[in-house]
Amino acid sequence: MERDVAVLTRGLGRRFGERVALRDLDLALPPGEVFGLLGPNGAGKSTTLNLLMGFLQPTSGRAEVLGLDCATRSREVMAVVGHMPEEPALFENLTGRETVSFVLSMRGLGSALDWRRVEGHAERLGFSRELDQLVAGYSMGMRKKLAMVLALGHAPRVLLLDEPTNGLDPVVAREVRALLLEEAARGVTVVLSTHLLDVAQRTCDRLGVIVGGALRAVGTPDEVRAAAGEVDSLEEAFMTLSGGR
Amino acid sequence: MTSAAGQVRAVVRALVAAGLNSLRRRQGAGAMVIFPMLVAVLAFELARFGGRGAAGVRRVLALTADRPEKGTWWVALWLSLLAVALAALKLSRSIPGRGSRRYFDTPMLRSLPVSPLARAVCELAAGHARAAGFVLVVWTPAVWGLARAHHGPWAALALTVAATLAVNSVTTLAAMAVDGGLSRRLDGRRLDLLRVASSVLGIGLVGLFTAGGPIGAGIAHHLRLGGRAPPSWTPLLPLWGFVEWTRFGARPAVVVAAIAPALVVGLASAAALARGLRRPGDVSLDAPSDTFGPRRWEPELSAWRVELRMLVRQAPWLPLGPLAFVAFFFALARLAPKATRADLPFLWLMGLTGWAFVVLATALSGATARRWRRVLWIPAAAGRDHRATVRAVAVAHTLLTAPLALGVLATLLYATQPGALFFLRMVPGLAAAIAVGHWALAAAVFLLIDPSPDRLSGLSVAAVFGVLTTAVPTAALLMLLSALPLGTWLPLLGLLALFAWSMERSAAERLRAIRDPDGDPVAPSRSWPALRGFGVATLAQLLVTQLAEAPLGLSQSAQLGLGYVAFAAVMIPLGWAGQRRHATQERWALPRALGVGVAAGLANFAVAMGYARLASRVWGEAAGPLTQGLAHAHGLWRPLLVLCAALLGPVAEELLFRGWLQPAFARDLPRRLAPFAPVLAAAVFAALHMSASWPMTFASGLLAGWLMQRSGRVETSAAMHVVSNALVVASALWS
Repeated sequence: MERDVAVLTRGLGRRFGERVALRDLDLALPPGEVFGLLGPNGAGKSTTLNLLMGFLQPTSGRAEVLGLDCATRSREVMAVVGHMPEEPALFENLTGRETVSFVLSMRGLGSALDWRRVEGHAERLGFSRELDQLVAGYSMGMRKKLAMVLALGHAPRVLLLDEPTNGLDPVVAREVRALLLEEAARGVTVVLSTHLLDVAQRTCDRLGVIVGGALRAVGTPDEVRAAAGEVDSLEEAFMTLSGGR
Repeated sequence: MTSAAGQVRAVVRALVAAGLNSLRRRQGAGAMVIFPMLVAVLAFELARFGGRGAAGVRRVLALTADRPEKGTWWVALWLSLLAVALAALKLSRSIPGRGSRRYFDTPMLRSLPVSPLARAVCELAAGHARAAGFVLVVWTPAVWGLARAHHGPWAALALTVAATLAVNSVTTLAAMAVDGGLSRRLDGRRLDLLRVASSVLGIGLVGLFTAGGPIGAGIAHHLRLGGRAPPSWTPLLPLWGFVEWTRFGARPAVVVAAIAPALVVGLASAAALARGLRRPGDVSLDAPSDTFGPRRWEPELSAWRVELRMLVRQAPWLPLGPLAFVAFFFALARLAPKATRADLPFLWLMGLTGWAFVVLATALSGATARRWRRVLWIPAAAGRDHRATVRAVAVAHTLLTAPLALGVLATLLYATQPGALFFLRMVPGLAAAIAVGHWALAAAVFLLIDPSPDRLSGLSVAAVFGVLTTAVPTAALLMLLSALPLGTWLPLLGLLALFAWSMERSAAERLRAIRDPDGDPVAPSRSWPALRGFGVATLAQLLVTQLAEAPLGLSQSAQLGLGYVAFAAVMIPLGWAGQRRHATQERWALPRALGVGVAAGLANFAVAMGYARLASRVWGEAAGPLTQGLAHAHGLWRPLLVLCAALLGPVAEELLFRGWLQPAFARDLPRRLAPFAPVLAAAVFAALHMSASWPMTFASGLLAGWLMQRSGRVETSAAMHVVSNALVVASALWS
């Protein structure tokens, strides 16, 4: 393992039959970095996160999280990673609090569960009152908030977030960004996928633009802009890199 | 990282919490119905199979005293069938659309560090929790009885627990394996169809479980009457004990007492439902947003629970159902000579469980029908109308509820007509009647509530069908069919189909008007009012036959004469009014029409005589009530009967069928089917006569219809009918 690298991919690739979803992805993310995977729909962002979680086996290359091979040691990876899927599927008949208790018990934190930390997160995301209501009655935004609380609940060292601010109102979205930056300041590596340029620009230390399964540019927002030629904004850079889509 | 045992404990805790939440907060009404029902049925079945030293199963085994192992094999066969049903139900619940999703394997849980062992155990635990009710009620009692027949109570308990856990696990694993294998090979649509098919298989087998006892009891009784021993497996059938208890003497009052409250509840529920859902301003023709896309399928379990909850909410009369059933059994106990006071608690229990079974099965089938609707809504949305959907819903419901309805019917028949040798002959006819009845009801539901398919939720199907298919058809079919000769069934079914078709058409017209409000207005159906007129005519006809046999103290011919007068008094004004609305183009002059009509009447008479001779020789058909009445008529009644039979009756019928119904059909049918309007009118005509010689009536109706179509004058067919009937009357007087 290379020193001071939390997330590492080398030549990572994945095919689905004839279709190449991801090819030759090389990334090295240090602890405390907020890294944004940027790209149009179907570019390979979610595939990358699924490979890092070990949900998918790579067809080429390898991926490591904190030195653990994602393909062969996915259980150990899951233990140190907080993951938020794009569409959180929750048990409808549990309350938010029971869901937190269940998920953290599955992680072995049953007795050591720090409710103050959980409630603090819920408070900041503006849904502490709904914590005791059934998930069945939650809106999409509330489900996202609960999924965020679950991802942060066990104080993970790496956060993998798929479109974390989709469906959230601007106030909560800003709070989510602030939370992620605080986590990063504590040394947590955050990888988030998004197609929202605004989120990427204001949250991420570095960006990787994926188009058609290939990494087109990587670097700080300024560096990405430079890589696209002399363009004024990240949006223009994105349009140039993604072929005008 | 936590241990596998800790993770299993966490899952079990979550499942318990989820179950309690669903009871406490969300699905209280459904749970209030389901759980007492589960407990009651379980208690009943345990007592039947394993109570008092396993006397239940011993009785079964004793029936095969020469080969005791045979009884065991029958139990084993029954258990295997139920295990298949269980696996099918699990499979149907485990396919949420494209791609495989197991009970436990959601995206959120997949991201947790769960050990393979804990994952497998959790899958099984989740599967067990979902199927616990079904297994406990349907499977466990028979295992318990079997174990108690051979072992002491503790060993039997251990065996029962082990066998129950094993079958639940094996069926979960089987469903998961099939699900996983097929979801890789099939596309989403085929997978959906597979799920529907497996759901139908599973619920169908459960329906067999419910209906098996009554049907088997009927077969056994039929054999006993024929001097043969009933087969040894009949006591094994579910609800056999229930049938044994209800095997009483023929008391029509029992049937009336049983049916009246159920009828009231059924009609009141349907009315409440229609009131609640009929909001014309709230019509959306967009496909439901959750129709498309594989991830949006509701989990099956919550779907039928929600169905049940909404069923109770939308049909506030539903809680009266148990009362109706209790009244049924109370009436049985009071009126039946063999029942004693000690039987009452048992009968009450059976009443409640019987009703709960009906509600549960209906809610399940409602959820299933909704999926059918969704599967079929996609082509329906792209197409012109929703007739395919109507028929699909009807087919689904027939498959799901026919065994149940058959069982209830057979039980009542058996209880009230122990000597009914036509029982076996009735079963296929009843099945057909139920199928056509479902079609008619499906069309009626569409029309009653809303023709936009997204408003026809499983709820409406469940509520209306559930109550109507069990209470109303049970009552109506039992009353009607047991009183009628077998030959009248076919035209009756045809009639019901006509009714369904007419409803469907009206619903389609409404849908078209809503979909395209600025388009050409579609004239309302004329067949529908015509059929309503026909309904009145049917009642008039029933009045004739009932008056002839009612204990009024008059002679038979006097009663028949009165009946005919009443018939003519209703039919002629009705037919005249209807006929005037359908002025047709007259093609023939009146003399020509009358001449051809008379000639046709002579020919029809000759054929009818030949048919009557053939019928009496081949299948011993007796002469109709009119011929018999004329033969015994005296005094003034004789000319009155002659007048009615030879003139008033034929004229009234021709006005109604050829003057009104036939042109209405010709206008409403699609263009290429319009030439068949005389055939439909003749079918209705034959059905109205409710006579065993309906093939002849149908042929005569065809001839009259053809004459009407050729001449454009109702006088042609009226002349034919009058001449033909007059000659029949003359021949009856002569003989």
